[in-house]
Amino acid sequence: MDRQLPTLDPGVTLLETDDAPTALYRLVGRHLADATTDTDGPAYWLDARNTASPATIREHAPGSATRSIRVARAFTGYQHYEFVRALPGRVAPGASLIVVPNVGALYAEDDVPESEADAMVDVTCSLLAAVANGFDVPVLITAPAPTYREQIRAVADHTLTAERTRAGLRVEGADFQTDLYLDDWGYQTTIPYWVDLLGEATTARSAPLGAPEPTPLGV
Amino acid sequence: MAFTIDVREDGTPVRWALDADGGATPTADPDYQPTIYAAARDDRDRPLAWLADALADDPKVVAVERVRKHRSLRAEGPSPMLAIRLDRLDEVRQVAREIRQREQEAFLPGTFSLYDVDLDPGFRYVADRGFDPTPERELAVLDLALPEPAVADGDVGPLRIDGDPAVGDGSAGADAASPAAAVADAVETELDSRDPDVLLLSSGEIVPLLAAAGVDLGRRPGFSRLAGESTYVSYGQVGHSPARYDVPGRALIDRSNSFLYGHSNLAGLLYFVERAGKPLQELATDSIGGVLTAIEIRAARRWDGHHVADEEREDGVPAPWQKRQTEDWKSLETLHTADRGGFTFQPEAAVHEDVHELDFASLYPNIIRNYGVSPDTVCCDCCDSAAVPELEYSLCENRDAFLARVLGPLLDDRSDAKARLREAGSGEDTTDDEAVVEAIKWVLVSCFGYQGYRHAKFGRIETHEAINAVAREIMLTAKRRLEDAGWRIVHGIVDSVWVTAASDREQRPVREVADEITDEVEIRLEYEGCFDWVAFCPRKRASGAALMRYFGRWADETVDVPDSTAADPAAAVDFDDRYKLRGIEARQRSTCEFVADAQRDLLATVHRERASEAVCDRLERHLRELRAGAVDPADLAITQRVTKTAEAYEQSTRAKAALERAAAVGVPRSPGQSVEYVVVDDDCSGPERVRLAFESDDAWPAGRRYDATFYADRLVRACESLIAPLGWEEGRIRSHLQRDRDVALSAFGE
Repeated sequence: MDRQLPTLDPGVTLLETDDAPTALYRLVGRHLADATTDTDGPAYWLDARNTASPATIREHAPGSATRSIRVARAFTGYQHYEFVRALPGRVAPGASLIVVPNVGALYAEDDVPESEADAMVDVTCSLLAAVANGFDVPVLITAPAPTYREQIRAVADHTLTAERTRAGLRVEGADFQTDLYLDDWGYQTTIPYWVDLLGEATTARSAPLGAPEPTPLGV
Repeated sequence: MAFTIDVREDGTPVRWALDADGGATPTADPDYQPTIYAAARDDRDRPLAWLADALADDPKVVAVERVRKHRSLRAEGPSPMLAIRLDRLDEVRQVAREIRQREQEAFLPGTFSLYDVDLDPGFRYVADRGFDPTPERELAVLDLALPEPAVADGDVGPLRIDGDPAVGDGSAGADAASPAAAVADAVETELDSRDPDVLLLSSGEIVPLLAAAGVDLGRRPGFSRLAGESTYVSYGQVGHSPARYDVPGRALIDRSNSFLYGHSNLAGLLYFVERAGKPLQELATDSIGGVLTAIEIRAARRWDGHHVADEEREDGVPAPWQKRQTEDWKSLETLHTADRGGFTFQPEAAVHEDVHELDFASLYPNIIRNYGVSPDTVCCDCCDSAAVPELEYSLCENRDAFLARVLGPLLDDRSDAKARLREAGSGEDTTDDEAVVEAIKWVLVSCFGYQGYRHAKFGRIETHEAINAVAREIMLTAKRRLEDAGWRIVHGIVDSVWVTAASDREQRPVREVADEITDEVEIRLEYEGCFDWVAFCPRKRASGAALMRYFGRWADETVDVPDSTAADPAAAVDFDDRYKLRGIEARQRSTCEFVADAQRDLLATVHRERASEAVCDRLERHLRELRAGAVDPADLAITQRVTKTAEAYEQSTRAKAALERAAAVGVPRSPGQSVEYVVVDDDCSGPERVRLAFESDDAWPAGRRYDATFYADRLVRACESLIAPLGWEEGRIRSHLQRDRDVALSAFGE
């Protein structure tokens, strides 16, 4: 089991982060690394705001996995909407993942009148949820801008939060939290990591259980 | 037939035809019905029937008809559309917005695509009615200019007519009641005697200011404000548009709001009036992309699905309002290749001798034309070719290559005008041809980038990618052929390549090789000339050379050395003809004249001495002049385009200080506008740090004193740019300057 990053379940997963832009790429890389062993279905990346940098995606995903990724970039809200509308017809059965970063961003721009944008965001949210359900596929989304964030949160089946810590990327969800960190010096563990591995101590002599402070472990 | 169009308050267009012997005649056209088009997603019939029904009782709509038109340049055939004919020219956008709102009552958003919504009214009118807006006779022009502080103060007193003061010092308008009345009289006199067709204004604000003084600038009373001033972002750059005005019967050109006029002249504008079929006043305010779009809109109306026909067609492509066309899904590998940009060959940061420069003529437009790279041809569904190198996109052989048809005439007209310029005698006035060459150049330069612009109506990102890929292949071919012929590539970027003789090799003549490359790639590789030497500057914060910072001295054989009785005819060549500069301070708009001049002088020293010490000694002389306070402050003015308001600057920059100063003296600047200032005390942080160029003596520190230390720093940096390729960086210059040593003899040269 990967102790650093969670697996992505079918359904819409919202990744929230203020300071860890690499979290998206690492989650995608982790998921695709697993997925290639199970299925050969393609992954789709519906891009907004130039997130789909080939170099960055490759940095965090194994080469074999990145070959299955298909990218389409939207540059206006209208284009984003057209991609979303066409998504049910585009996604192949057995798809491994759909990534939709900055979901509401382009609709919030000045060139789309507000009433039209609101309606397009509604449809976008419903369609992403329908595609996740219909294809039984994980749909990983981000929505860093405040506009439309609440609407987008409401369609998420799962939420992950990512933050940068001194020890590395920390990801937390309803049933996952990072307890093993990889940094420049090797792996770092947390007390919950050892508790999980060895079982909780039952005597007063055991280590105190408090906040999960990383403890270095050379590798 | 209709050189300018007014729209009356009741929405009726009035077209003005020029009279042969001066003056112009108006004709109102109350029967004109502007039309927008609506298509439904997947060409379904029910939404169109619903929309026709919904619009039936809209008083703004005169009629709704079923028509068939192509939805895009790539459409397989025409689609059913509604032609929605409207009563008034000024209600087009209103109706379009209402359709968008009504759509939500019954359908998902984006069920309807709307066309021909955001066309300028005069352009729409002449295009729909088939009128040619090209003037049939020479236009009478009246040039009115008012300095900016006077515009801000609402004072028409300093108005200039054709460059001369409207009112002399109390003489011309002596009997008028006030200075404003005297100016008004003078303008009226000119209007009456010349009956101008075109008003060339330094600022549109002259229209309401003169109106307040009782002058009607139009051929009928009144004026209207078409748009307020605004700040916008385009291509990531902040821009500013001033308010636009309209007067009856005359075309207004606001110099402060016309890119093409600023980079060309009236002849350049009129060239595109004819090519785009767009009236002068509207064309003058267009961006370069706007001019290209206007030409494309006209050509798209003639599109029959595969070719641009000679006449407009019933089923042509109307102009899409909101661009919904998306790019294709791509693999990461294709995306990576597609995003690679132009060819670059990393030069060595050093001085290179005997270097030849070769440039492909209008590389991108010629790729579009000669290779048929166009939105309608790239990645077509019908041809199985992988014609685009690396990307393996197909290029359709069954279609016209729309963009090639649009650009072809411009390329031909430009080379014709250039040929006329080459053949012109020395006494001939070639201003108009020069202006046309320049105006077309701007459209050609931008046509490639515009394909990737997200709002370009007929742009397509795959076209942009394919042009780039073909260009890289062409540059690689050129590199290979030149190397095979014994030449070494010194530098190469986008469409230019610099070569020198490879040591221990025999060379075939470089022009001969260029001709062979021209034949092979079908785009002319022009021999630009030979440099005695060319220097590539090192990058400022990284190793290697910067790609676009260089300077060089053309050899005698390349510059036209005049026949002269002087002892050294070569010395009579202009600096600008002798040297080529790119990216260094003397070429930058934000560099003040003093530093630019000094850098040019130091450059001549670089050539004479080829020794950094001598250049530094020469620098010392400029520094002394500066520190003695002997430089005219006008030569120290820095022009800077501001990108935000003073409050939005978090750091206390000079731009912020200049903005604060501008506001304090009553000439506030908006983001996107330029501000011109002299630094008087760089240690201050507020408006005291700078003075604006036009401020009078009493607003300055005594003796119009400037901050010599600040400018000295700029001067040293300009010097560093020149000798960095010789291995000298700023620290070494400063330590050299500090040495208390005799000024070398070389500093007394000339």
